[in-house]
This record gives sequence, C-alpha cells and structure tokens, in this order.
Amino acid sequence: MSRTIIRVDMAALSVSRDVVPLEYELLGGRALTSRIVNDEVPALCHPLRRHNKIVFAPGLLSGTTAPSSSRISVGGKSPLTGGIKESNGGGDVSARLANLGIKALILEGLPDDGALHVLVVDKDGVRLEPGEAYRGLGTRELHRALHAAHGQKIGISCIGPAGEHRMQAAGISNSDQQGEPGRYSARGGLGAVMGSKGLKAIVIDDADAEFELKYADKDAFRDAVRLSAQAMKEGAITSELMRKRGTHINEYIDEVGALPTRNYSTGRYEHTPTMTGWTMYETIRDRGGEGRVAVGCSKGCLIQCMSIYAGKDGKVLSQSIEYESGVLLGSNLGIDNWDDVAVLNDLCNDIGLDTMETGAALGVLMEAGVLKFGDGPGAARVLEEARSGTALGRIVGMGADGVGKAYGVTRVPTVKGQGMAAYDPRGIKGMGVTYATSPMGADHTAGFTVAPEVFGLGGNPDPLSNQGKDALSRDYQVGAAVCDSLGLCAFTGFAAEQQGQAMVDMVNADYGTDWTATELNELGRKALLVEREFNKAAGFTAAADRLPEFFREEPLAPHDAVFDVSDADLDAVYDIWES
Amino acid sequence: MMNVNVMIYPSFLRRIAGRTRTDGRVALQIADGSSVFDVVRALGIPEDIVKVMIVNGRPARMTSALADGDTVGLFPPLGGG
Repeated sequence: MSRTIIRVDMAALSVSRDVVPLEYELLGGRALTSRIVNDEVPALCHPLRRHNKIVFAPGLLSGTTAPSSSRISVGGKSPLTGGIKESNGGGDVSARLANLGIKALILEGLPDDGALHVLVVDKDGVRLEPGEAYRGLGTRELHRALHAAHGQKIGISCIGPAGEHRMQAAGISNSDQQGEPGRYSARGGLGAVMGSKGLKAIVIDDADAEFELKYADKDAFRDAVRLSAQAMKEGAITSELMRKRGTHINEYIDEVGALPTRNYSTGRYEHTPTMTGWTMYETIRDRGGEGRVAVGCSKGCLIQCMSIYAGKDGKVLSQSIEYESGVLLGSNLGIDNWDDVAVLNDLCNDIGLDTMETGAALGVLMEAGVLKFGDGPGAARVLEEARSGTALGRIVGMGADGVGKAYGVTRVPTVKGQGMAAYDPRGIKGMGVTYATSPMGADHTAGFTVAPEVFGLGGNPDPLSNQGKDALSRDYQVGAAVCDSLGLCAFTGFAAEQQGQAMVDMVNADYGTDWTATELNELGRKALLVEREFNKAAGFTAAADRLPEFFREEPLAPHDAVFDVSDADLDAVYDIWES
Repeated sequence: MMNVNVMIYPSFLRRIAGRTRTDGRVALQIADGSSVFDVVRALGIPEDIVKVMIVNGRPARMTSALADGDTVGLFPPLGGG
C-alpha cells in the first residue's frame, strides 16, 4: 500500500484520495506544502475565500524511528502576511498522519452555509462529521469533548475561538503525546483559514493502520538512527540542558543586550535574573502537584524540552511556556513574574492565538497606552475580549500591525505583517537579515543565526557587526528549510556533529536515494525559491524585505545599536540565486 | 588590581563552594591585565563547562583581556530559543 494525498472538499463535503505524483515523492514537510501551495493556490486569491487551501504534510522522516521527527508542516496563503506560509508545529500529529500513509492532507473550498465540521482520519478512511456542537469551544474543552467522542488515543489539530473569528493571529493547535493541546502551528493566521473553511478540528486515529512503511534499506536506517541518537546523547544541549531549563535562554539574550523589552524599546530587562528557565523550573519543582519538567512532545524524543507550569495551588496553570512566549508575553510587556506569563500563555493556547503575534500585539497596545506595561491581569482581560470577539479583542487578534494602525503607534516590530521573535535585530543583526528576507515574514526558526552569533555554534560572528550577515542568514535559511522538510525538530541541530551525517543517511536508507549534504541542501533551497516565486506573484517586491524604519534610527540600549545592514546586503540574500 | 562584575548562573553556582544565591552577580577583584580565563580560575569553575563568555554584552573568548569595571557573563553551552 503506497502513500496517498487526501483532498477534502469543504464545499461538497467530500473526500478523495490521490496517488502521489512522481515529482512529489522526494518532497515532504515544508518542501511539499510550499510546492503544493505554489502549484494550486492562486497567489492573488483572498486568503479567507474558497481559492485558498490548507496543506498538512508530515516531513520526509515523520513516522519513522528517527529521533524527534514528528514535526508537522501546515501550508497555505497567510491572511496575516498576504504571502506563502509554512506553520511548523510539534506534537505527534505528524507521526500519526505518516503512520496512516498520508503524504499530504489538503483542505479545499469553503462551505456555503457556514456550518462547522470535524474531520476524522483513521484506518477506515477520512470523513467529515458535524461539528456545530463544538462551536465556540476553547481548545481545552474541545479536547475533552473530542476525547469523549473518539477515545484518548487520538491526535488532534484544531482551532479555538480565534480561528472561528477569522483572526489574523489565529493558529492551529496540534496535540502532544499526552493528548494536550498547545503544540502550535502558530504563525501567520492559518487558524483563520481553517475557520473560514468551517473546520473546527481534525481527529487522527492511527491505531491498526494498514499502511506499512517500507524502508529502502532497513538495516542502514537502523544504523543511521543509532548515529542520530548518539549525536543527541553527546550534545550537552540535547542530552541534558533542555531537560534542566527548557528552551529559555533569557539571560544570554539579555546579556548581549537584544532582549525585547517594553515593546522593543530597550535590549536589557531588569527582571531577567528572576525570569530564567532555571527559576521557572525551580518554581515548578518547588510547587509539585501537576507541574512537570523534562517532558517530550512526541514519542521517543530524547531532548524533552517541555514543561508543565503549575500555579501556587499545584494545579496546571499552563502547558509548556516556550522561550519566545516567555519573552514576548514577559519582558516585552514589562511583566516581571512567571505566573502572569503562564496565565497569558494559557489564554493564547485556549483561545487559539499565536503567543508570539499576541505578545507583539499586546506590546504595541501597551505602547499605545491602552494598558500599562506590566499589567498582566489587564492583558488577560483583553485576551478574554479576543475570545468573545469584541472590537478591542478583534484589534488585538489582528496582530501587532493591526494594533499599530488602530492606535497610530509606529514602533511596530513586524516584517511582511508578521510580528518578530524574541531577539531584537539591532542587537543580533543576522536575525534582522532573517526577519527581513525570509519568505515567511519576521520569523526566527526560518534562519536561526542566534546559534553562531550568540551561542558560538558553527562560528563566532559578532552579533553587532553588519558584515557578512547576508551569507550567514542565507545558510541558516537553507538549513531551516531542510529541517522543516524532513519533519525534524530544529533542536536536533544542537546535537553533536554526527547528526549532519545521520540526517543524510536516514533519508537515503528510507527512500533509496544517494544524497549527500549537497542534495539535502538543494531540497531546502528549492523550497525557499518556490516560496519566493509565490510571494512575487502575490505582489511582494524588495520593499517587503526591509525592517521597520525605527530599527534603523532608534539606538537600542545597552549598545546604542541600530540595524545597519545595507539594503544591498538584504537583497543579496536571494539575488545570488534569482538574478 | 581591578574590579570586574561577574554574572554566574545557577548551574555554575552550585559548583562554587558557599554560593547559594540564584541571582549570580558577583563582584570580583583580580590582577590588572587578567583575562576571562583568570576570572574562571579565580572562581574555581571548571573551565571545560564554560562554553559561552560575554564581556560587556559582546561575545568573548577565554583569552579576552579585561579592564576595570567590565561585566563578564559565564554560561554553559547554549541552545534553545
């Protein structure tokens, strides 16, 4: 039984199966979603009308025993950026789809009647079921209801009220191996697209799947997995550091002076010493109860970067708070304690909002004076308004750009309409190049130059230097696209150096290819070029590859740095391939 | 002699006898012309666990020379984000 592509017509409420075309066989994850979106979605379409599509695609290695290989790619035209989007997410949804032999799941069309449905995917097939009973539910209650209806052993990709409200900051939640929501395909508003298609949730039950993965060379694959696992165990970060303090690198980014603080107004935060991963994990351990550390989102993950944050009463206050969320809902809002951050993180997860876009939006809202910096409870009340869809709630649901326009604020940290990540580009200039030039909009995983510039991994370029950052960002953008196409967690990039060889070996042993690092990089590079092609057709020019004006003109303390990478260097990132 | 302010985070603190604070800022007096390595040695931290050094907010090396009033951050291997 070979893999299939599932198409769901949300207008006709019908499902069909396609054979995988030859030209898609060696594509997966982001390489596949971007290719399908570019092939099938008219670049000028309205993202919330019937011509847009949502493509869910497991990575090339998803469903195998490769360590940390259950990342899912969700693609479409973004209502937030107006360009192509690949929203990468964790959890175990990807492995489940791969176990069922599904190469891609494509949602097409729009229901005429606005009715809500749930899509059920299992060994018997794919079918739509009525979903009106779930209208308005937050992801937590939705999970409970779906577990009651379909059992505990399912994967769920779903939207909260934000997606139903068609908010541009709405994401798609993917469930983790504990069955909890919160591993988000968050960026770019694909939750709104799913809402426009009238789909509240996708339920995936891979029990007794008929599909059987046939490796080209089973023994070689096993050897390659062993090499990868060894690399995980030998890397200090992948073998223990993440289990000890999660993804939180606040003190490092603060120390180099690039920590977004009070809406990107300064690069150091006076409360960082009490807001690190160490203090968070200490609090979780001290409180006991339902709190947990060193949790993995998918089966077999050795890195286990997640935690479960409990309140003073020992009850869960939030599923895993990540670094990005912790900063954008923390220092960026002048919030000085993990409890307030946890409340906001949990609200975003339940309402179905991207924590990063929401953090950026709330920062702009505070700059506008609607809330005071530091007002955690006030921010929580605003997010409840987003849940119920009031005018203020909807403004925040538009993301940082929308809030900026509504209130006349000009310090708005976005590119192509998408909010930035927890690294000020004036303090880490390679990140500024990635933010400006990635086809995704301002995005950190798209080209994570923090690794060399701050962590000293794979080089030691000065984060404050404006030289050579075009080449640096380009290399990391290709690397990210490779990772995203294989379905591997980006943190496998912190493993020991054997991981590079293991990646190539795993692909070759699985698919019978004869690739070296060159062909693997080509997979990533081609995905980027496809995305650039879509964006160009959608109307993007070089003007879209720029940072907001204030980053060039407002010096950031403590280094008094401005973003001064030249426009020529920004254009050079892709000119090298396109001119 | 010169004064430097050292930021040491919890994973290192436990290796330094007598230190129990979670806020790792320590004022240190060392000889003129000292390097980051001299600071690490003065604090009794095993040098092989210090992978990232940041001086005055800029990434530095073990051999980086220090001046009076410098801030020095000492960190284990980094990864995350």
